[in-house]
Amino acid sequence: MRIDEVIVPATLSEALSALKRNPDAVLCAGGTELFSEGPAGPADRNRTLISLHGIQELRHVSRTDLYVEVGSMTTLAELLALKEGFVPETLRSVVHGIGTFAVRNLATLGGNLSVTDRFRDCFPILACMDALAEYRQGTASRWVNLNRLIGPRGTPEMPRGEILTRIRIPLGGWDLGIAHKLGFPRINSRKSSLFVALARTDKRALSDIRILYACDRALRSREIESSLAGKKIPLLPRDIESAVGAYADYCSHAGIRESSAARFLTLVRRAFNQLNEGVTA
Amino acid sequence: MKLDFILNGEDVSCQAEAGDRLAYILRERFSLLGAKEDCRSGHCGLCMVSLNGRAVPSCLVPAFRVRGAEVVTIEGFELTDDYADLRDGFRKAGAEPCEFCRGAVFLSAAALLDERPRPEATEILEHLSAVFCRCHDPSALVRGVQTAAELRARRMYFRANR
Repeated sequence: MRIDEVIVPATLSEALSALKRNPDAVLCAGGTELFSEGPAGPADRNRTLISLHGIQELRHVSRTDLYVEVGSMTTLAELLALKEGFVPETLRSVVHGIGTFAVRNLATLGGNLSVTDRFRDCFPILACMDALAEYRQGTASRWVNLNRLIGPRGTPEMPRGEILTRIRIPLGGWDLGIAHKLGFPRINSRKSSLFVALARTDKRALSDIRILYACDRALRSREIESSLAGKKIPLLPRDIESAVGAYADYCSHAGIRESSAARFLTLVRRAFNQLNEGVTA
Repeated sequence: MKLDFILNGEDVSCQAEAGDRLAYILRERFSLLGAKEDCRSGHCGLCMVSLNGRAVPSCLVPAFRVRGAEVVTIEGFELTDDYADLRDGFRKAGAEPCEFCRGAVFLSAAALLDERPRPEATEILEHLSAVFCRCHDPSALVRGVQTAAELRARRMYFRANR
């Protein structure tokens, strides 16, 4: 990327007014995405860059009984350093799988959620958890459910001209939490995918299940999830087969590559088996 | 742009493009060759430096982030007692890293010992996986860090009781 001018605001209000003056500016959080593009990068034209790294108010982390609120500039290392149980364990394991400890010292949660070309690792798990993101523009702010940032074709549709300030992560207990990364574990590969499955049970029945697979786009079918809710567990083999069949149809309608679909279906089947094993145990 | 920052304990300043990487600035402007520029995406770890007390890959740190910051490279770290502990610990354990990865391995190990003075083998392996060099088998590296941790703990004890 060719950088024309860099603005390093010290406060959020300075950042908001800088963005108002330069609506086309690129926002930079930890910089790991922007600067791992290689020497060429998208050097189409000179850009103004607003670096948010110096804004302390965007690093605040707090918790209530219902949710954890994480400032967007909290680094992934800071997130992992929170005491055990502060953030959901499945999210923790996802964050632990991103980059190396040194990369996590730079990379931020807000940056991870704001990449526009492809969903990065934290997005699928937080979307499944119905996390909310606060976006600020001028004096206005709004909370957006992360699922609303998935476009109709399953690709990211991140807001422009707004600054992501906080992420609110609900703390509902999940009986099953699976996050499985496909691709090289420590490398920030643009070709890695993430499979997430979360499930809640109540009185030996499945009360809530969410399955999201983020490859070159995000795949999630609320219809299939609803059809599974209320099923007795352990799930019967015919229930599993019918759900896997429904996901196979969903994949073929979505037009994703056969290899990605095959991986997704294997992971779906494995998640159901793990759910059954958990109940039997 | 003009950059003023603290490099290995000294106030320095230089001219750089906003998008220059710290690894490039260290090598080209200050002739500090301990940080190797290799993958330029942060995963090989060979350009490790300490930025405001945190170990980071300097290839992912843009010039503008260095303004007013404190940077320590392996050349500066070599002058500290922590480095001496690591050097002696690795030597005792027969696990001296090669010249190419030495800086990155020692800076990663030092970051771990700052956080966890008595690290487990799994933590050591996890931390040192940040450096893509395979000049030693993992068990030798674990022994090296654990021996260094002992030396460091002993030094701290004597300092506290002097």
